[in-house]
Amino acid sequence: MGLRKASASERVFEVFNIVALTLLSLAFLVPFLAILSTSFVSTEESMRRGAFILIPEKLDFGAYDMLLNRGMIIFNAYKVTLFRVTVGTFLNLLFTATLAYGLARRTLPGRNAIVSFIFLTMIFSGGLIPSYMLIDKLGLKDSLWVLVVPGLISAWNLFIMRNFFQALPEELEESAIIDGAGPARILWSIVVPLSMPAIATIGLFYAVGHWNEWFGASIYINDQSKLPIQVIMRNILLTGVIQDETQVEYIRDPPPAAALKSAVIIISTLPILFVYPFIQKYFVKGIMVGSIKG
Amino acid sequence: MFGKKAGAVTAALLTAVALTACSGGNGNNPAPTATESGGPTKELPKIYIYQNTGALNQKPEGSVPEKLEEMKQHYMDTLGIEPIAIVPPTGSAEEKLNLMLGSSDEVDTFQGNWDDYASKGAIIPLNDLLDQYGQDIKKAWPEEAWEYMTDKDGKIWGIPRGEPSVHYPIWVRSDWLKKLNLEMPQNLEELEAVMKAFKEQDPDGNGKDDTIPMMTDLNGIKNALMGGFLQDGNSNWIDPADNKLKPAELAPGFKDFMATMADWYQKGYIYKESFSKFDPLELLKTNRVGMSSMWYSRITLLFPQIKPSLPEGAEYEIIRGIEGPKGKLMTASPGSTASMVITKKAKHPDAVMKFINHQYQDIPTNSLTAAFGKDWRYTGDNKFDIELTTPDITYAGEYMVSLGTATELKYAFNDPVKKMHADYLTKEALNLEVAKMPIDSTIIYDKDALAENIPTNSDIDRLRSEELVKFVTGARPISEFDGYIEQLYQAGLDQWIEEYTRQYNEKKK
Amino acid sequence: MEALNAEVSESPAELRAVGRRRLWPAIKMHRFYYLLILPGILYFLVFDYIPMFGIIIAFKDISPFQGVDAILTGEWVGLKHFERFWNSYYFWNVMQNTLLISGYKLIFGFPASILLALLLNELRNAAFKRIVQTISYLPHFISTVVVAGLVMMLLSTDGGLINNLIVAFGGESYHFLGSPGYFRSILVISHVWQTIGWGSILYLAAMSGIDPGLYEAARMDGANRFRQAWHITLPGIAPVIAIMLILSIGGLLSAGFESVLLLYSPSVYGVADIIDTYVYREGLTNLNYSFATAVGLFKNVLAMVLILGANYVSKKMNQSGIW
Repeated sequence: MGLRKASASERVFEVFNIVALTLLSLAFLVPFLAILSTSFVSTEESMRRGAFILIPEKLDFGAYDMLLNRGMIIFNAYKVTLFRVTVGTFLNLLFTATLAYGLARRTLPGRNAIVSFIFLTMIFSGGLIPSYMLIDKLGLKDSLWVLVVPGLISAWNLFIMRNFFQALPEELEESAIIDGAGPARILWSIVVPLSMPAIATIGLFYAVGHWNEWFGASIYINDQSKLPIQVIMRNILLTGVIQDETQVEYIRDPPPAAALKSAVIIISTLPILFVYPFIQKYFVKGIMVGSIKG
Repeated sequence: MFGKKAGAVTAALLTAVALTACSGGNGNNPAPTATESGGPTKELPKIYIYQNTGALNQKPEGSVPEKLEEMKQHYMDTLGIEPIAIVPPTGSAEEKLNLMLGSSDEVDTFQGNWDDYASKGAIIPLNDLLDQYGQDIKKAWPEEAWEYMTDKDGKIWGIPRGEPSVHYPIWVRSDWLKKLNLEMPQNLEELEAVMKAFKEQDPDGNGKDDTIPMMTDLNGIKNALMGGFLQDGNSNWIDPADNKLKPAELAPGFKDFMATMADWYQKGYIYKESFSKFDPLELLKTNRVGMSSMWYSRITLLFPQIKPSLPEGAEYEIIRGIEGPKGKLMTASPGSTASMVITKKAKHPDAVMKFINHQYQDIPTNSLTAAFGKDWRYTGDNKFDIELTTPDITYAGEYMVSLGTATELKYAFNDPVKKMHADYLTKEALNLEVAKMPIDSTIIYDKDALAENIPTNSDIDRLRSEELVKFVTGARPISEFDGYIEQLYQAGLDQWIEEYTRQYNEKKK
Repeated sequence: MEALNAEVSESPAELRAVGRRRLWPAIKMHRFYYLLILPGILYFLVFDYIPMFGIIIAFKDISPFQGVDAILTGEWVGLKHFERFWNSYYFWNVMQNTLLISGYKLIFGFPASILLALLLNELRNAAFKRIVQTISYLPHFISTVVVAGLVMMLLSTDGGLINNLIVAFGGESYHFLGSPGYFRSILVISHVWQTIGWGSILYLAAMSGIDPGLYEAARMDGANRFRQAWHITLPGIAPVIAIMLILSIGGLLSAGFESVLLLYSPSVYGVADIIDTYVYREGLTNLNYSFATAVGLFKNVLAMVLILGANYVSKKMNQSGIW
């Protein structure tokens, strides 16, 4: 591996790469840090200085105090979100992977028809009203399962995963079939381990999707104790933003302070960020190599 | 290797499911006292309130569950009615409402424009219910307010929320006027002179040419200034030549109005970002705003909050008695059809009416209880001044169904921060004499017919907003004004005029 | 890897030919596969195809709260809503804005994610790589509402960072958000900022699946970094790029409703009013649900055409696509 020494241009590139990526990281990090530090600003200071403050004069936990001491509301909301992220993602992966694998099999009769069938659902939709009625009839309204079942398979993720499966060499499956293994067995013992990067990625997409999702929850759930954290947070965040004051005649209260809004953002974002490091190890190179040669 | 992974995954799942089971339990069984207290064994009628009145703005995440139960129990004990509140999602409240109305969900009352719902059969007329159970409501609102709730057949469709009011006074930094030895302007020339002085003489004394003489927006210039140039103000008008109802753009004086605004903008008297999205709070904080002609609450709600960090003596006052060549500058806001309504599928409409009526009894006590629960009290013995007993309110107001001028003007917070807003509501908002009233203010236009007969209605709206802004900001020269009118006709102004005239003649009283 | 793909792609055609002649045996042979995909198909049937009947709302005059019966029994109005949209004064303006805004977002945003993935892939220090990667998708978690707030703050004519810099260099502060010339760029830049990191995740995952042996072989042959990237990495992730591109092209008619709504104003309607904001304003004056559904259907049909076109081109170019 170290047989060639890096040429001058390559070294220059490496330096340039590091510098560029560092600058880019700053562009991503600074706004986020601004939000983080704004969440620690006291109301008094917030009234004096601008909206987003990079370095607060003193740390004030008022915003977090207000949010986290709400007792059951926030705690329940986190539990609901945790439920949908874990159970939801697991079910997502289960159903998506099985469907993707089945449709990756090139010899499957009617494959293209089925793919088109699914594909059409990505383009055409009846809209909110019929979906709402369906959910109503199915009895899913106001139930935690409405957070998990209606979005069970995302056609987008399905096609991406199928794409990954299709890229796997067929010899592996062939030999397993010859040995008499059924598709479920092949999927579980051979395909999944080899596709860990893909599965981990799609799993991450689903998990983050669940974490961020708020619209369906807000529409289908009335019971406050069953709302995920994003809905609660968004209610706070949006107060006074989109509404046109001439439509709402009586605003008795000014919008929530910047500190509160920032704290809301931090609370609803930070936890999911910690998931990524755990997924990282599945992206390691070379996981596939050994098995083919073997 | 897979055994371990499967094991880990299963463990995580089981934990999650277990937690959910627990939370499900907790969520459904709050403070045991509430549900087990010895109440009558007969079922109390339940009413479902879709809480989109704005009462929740004070605490958007909703009440602390125990407090909500307390309030619910309070109403069950007092009225024998069980209120159930549905908290709408901010930003998609109307979508959810419409979905719930169209499905099997229970929704008994909500706030909306009754004319949107009445013709489609979603709500019921309230005449009988008001007579039987709503006497206090009827007394609380004046005749003018009820006019906006009544259709041509005499059916009352909603409980009013507001009355015609004035919302666009011009506020000016009175301390700056004193500092620069200026009097309150009484006409447009003086107004311009004040703005010029603000711009050139650096009243905030920071040595920089950054003073903003006037902060405003599109609705601001229309409602706070147009009146001085047009006979009818920001209103449709009748063209004496053909007796047709036409939009303000065609009225005499409109071009002068636009030319003056463009002139002021170009001279830097009007804030550069007025016609795009900006944050008024941030702007006010910088101590550079000399005047504001925006919706009144921009000043009344925001200024008291930041006042402590502004220099000593900073104060905004309303400019009174100012007139232009054609008269008063301000145009009033006519009453709207926004109201509390009762749905057709309400199982106990009488209970709903009783519940709402209760909040109009003993004004403002019952209404305040509905809004703040137990966290408030009178500070004097005049049943007017109140204060919150805790800055951290625990009940968000889910059962408040009486938000409107009839109740909101009957009390005022003792809190200096809220005083300016309360003063405006109680002393200024209903002074209609200071402004011009649009000539078709009492007319409730049939929106379906408008959409049917003016297919390009929203295009015309966009054209009017977009071009007015372009003219004022100088993106389009005033000389092209006639070309603009041409465009309006191309976009279907003829149909607009025909339809509006037709409805106006039909409905005017 | 390409060689393997080539081999495989010949047999499906063969097998399909066989399958056609002997359909029943083929189905029986694959019965476990059908069992495997059955739940997924049922899911789509129930949750996507059943609600699809709602599309007929576009051809009727329905209010959102009139219930199922109204939808099924309401009177047909044919193409009335579509015509209203096509004949509106601003139809072309709105279409143009939509396609331009999402077009720019695609042209700049799509390669940006790939480029970022390539750059990250070249990093040797694993810790630095992980840190940069994690930071790069922070923006994805900042909701559009907040991003809009940040943008307004950044571009404010007084006190905004950008204008402060301009003034410091001797210029005059400029009203960006109200300027038709800059508005689209603002939308695109904030979009790229928000999506570049998250978008690169998929490509990085794909890159980790490339056989390191190929790189070794290339290095033996004297290829430097750039050639390795060009000849191994890119082709290695080509199928992923293709499918992401096709799917993104399908989204060209939705140009980011929320971010436009939060930032636009009458001064920039001419360049920023997109189909969705136009319909949204329409819905504010009248509860015109049928109109919104009709326009939505129109968008969907156009998206369909675009995707079919993109898929066709993609298959011609490197034999991968959705079908």
